[in-house]
Amino acid sequence: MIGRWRLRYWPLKAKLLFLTLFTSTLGIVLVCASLIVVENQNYRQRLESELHVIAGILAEQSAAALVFEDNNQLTSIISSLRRIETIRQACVFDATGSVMSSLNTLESADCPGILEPPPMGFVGDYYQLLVPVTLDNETVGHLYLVSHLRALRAHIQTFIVVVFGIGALIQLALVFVALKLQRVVSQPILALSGTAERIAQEHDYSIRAPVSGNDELGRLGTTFNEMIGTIEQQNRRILESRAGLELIVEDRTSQLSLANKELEAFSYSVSHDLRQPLRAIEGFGQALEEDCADQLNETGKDYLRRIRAASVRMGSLIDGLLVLSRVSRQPLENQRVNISGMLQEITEELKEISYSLPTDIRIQSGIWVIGDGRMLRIAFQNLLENAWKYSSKEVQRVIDVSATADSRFITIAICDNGVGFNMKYVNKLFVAFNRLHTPSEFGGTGIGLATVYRVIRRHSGDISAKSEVGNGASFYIKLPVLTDQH
Amino acid sequence: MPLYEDVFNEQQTARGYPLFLWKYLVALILCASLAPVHASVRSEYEIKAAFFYNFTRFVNWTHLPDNESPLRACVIGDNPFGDLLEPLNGRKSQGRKLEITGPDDVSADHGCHVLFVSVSEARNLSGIVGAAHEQKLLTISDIPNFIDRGGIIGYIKQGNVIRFEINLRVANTLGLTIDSRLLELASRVIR
Amino acid sequence: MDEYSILVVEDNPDDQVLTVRALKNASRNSSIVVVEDGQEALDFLFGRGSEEPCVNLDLLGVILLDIKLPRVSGLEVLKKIRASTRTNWLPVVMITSSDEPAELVEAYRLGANSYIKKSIDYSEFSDQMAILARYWLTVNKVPKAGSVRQL
Repeated sequence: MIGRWRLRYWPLKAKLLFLTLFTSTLGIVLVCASLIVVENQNYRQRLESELHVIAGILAEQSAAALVFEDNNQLTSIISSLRRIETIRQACVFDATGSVMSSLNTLESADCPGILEPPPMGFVGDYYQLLVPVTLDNETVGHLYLVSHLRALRAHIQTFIVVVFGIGALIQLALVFVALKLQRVVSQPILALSGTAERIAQEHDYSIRAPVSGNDELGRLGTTFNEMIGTIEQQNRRILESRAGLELIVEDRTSQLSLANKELEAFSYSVSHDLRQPLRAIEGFGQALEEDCADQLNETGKDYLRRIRAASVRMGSLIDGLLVLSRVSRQPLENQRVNISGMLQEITEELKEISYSLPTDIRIQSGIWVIGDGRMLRIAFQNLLENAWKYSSKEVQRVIDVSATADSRFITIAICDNGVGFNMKYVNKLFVAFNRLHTPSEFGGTGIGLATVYRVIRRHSGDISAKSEVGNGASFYIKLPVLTDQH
Repeated sequence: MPLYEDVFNEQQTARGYPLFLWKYLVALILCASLAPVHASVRSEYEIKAAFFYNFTRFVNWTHLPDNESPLRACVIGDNPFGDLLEPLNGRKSQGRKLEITGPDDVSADHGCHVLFVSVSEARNLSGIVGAAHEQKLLTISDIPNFIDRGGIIGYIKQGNVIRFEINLRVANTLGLTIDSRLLELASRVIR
Repeated sequence: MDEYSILVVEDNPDDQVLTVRALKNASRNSSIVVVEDGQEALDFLFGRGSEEPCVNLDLLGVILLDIKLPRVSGLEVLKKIRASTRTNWLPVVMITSSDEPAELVEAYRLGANSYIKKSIDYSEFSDQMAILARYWLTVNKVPKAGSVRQL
């Protein structure tokens, strides 16, 4: 609360007004004070000289009475002082210093001895005065006057009241003038700050501040307007270039989607049209084998089998390519995927297909990731099939799946005890159509790991492999820990 | 007068130094016994002498050539002042030196400016006044009704107080101006 | 069993031969009608112009409909079959050589009864045809065309 009263929290108008009035008040008070001091001084001098004049006249008048020791006359002379209200005491002394006559407005006071004269001048509330009464340059007596300063006090009090009254009136007039004049300064600043606020709120850079005058404020307004003009131009340029960029992006996007559509059509026709002749080759091969078996010798039958096997292999190659192209272009649908459950299912299927040797499969439970379930299934199917396939020549098949996680990534390791591979060729592992084994050792298209790599990359993850020939292989799939968005 | 002043001073000092009080008391007693007439009660002529001097200070002799020539005061007849006027001799009145002489014959030109007419000359008063008018003298006397008989200033006694009367008409005729302050003090003024 | 026949809609002559061979091997007594594209299939089912079709649809046990056909595609043919009260009860088995997931979904959405991907391995394909003929021609029951219309 106290902070609000600090000067810097005040609005500009109030500050200007306060400063003006503070200065004027200070000036007025100083002027009043000095006027009062000067008036006090003047009034004292006037009072002093008046008293001296009075005393002089009285001394002159009383000279004869003194020398002739006419007390009655003296009394009548100084009685005239009664008409002067400020005179408190008057005493006339003869040449020897004895009191000849006295006038007291206060009963208490006695005339002081003049042989040890009392202090003269302004003493406390009084002005005391002792003048000699002379005749022919001879001092024939003394006149002692005491005037109280009540009149001075009253006069100064009245003067103070009047001066401060006038000061207050001037101050009132100044308040009025300052109220009018502060607008000259504050109006352009307020207009400028209002304009700045409006621009900041509405983001409308076409607004301009009103410019008045040719002083610093006018220049400030002009400079401000120039600045806003520059911002407006830059803004326009940015908007234009953004519009241009948007056009380019739109253009590229449409080109891209066109290319995507073409690719889709292409893969559709590949899938459909390449397979059809293969089917025909294979189908007629079999028909030939069945229907015309007696006309073929063993060599002919062998050739037919080879033709049919090649057709089947080409078919699975086409299938693999289709899958690869599909995982590359299909949009991702992120959801929580239970990898442990998925792997369990896949192994069950694999067991159903071939369960020729003792198999030990260990899958860590509770592995969850965020990703596209169908694509991840393709990836893990490939990986498990690989593990299954390359460990099929061992005495016992061992496949181990485990996962470790930190705050950013989860790493799933799939390890088998199969034949493994030479780490020399690890770079070729995830490239399509690169095979590290001959078809006679292990069947395969060379597309599976490329597909896995594609799926993991599309999940912003990474895949690496570690192996030693004859000692099994380990594949590490690193996936980012995403928050579930669906 | 100076003695009186001394005594006054002694008293003041004695009060300030009580240990030496006896010394001043002795002095006081000595003074009081030696000059009882002068100090305690002033005689009639002592006052009149002082008045005499003071009269000269309020009268202006317009016909005198300069302001510095001495002012001669003469006494005619028996001098009632005795030697009381002696102290006035040489004193200054309006810048002029006062010279006191006692001429016996008023008709002779002694160059007097102020003339005191003694009571002893009451019978010759008209002659003296006439001569004084010719010489434009300021005449002062304690002869009763002096101013009614052509004198200018006359002492009168009101009870125990010595006062004076002024005949301004005569003074003006003679070219003597009298200070208004003096006129104010006069118990009677003939204008 | 003999009274039911199979309509095969297949544009590729090789596939026609191989399909018919596989079906004949599986079900020797069934009559097999082969049409070469979607328009022909529609003509066969609904007649050409104002003509009434010559076939008795009550005898038709199943339609094997290839998806990729020139002119009118298999899915369009399926849509038309399902749109007409005359034919909407007919079992339709979609046959394709690709396995586009979107196509599979679309086929079932339009009311296909089954969806088969032609295997490249002909023995596998022959098995598929045998299962198909056995199921749709002997196991499965379909209402008479007239009774459907009455409903």
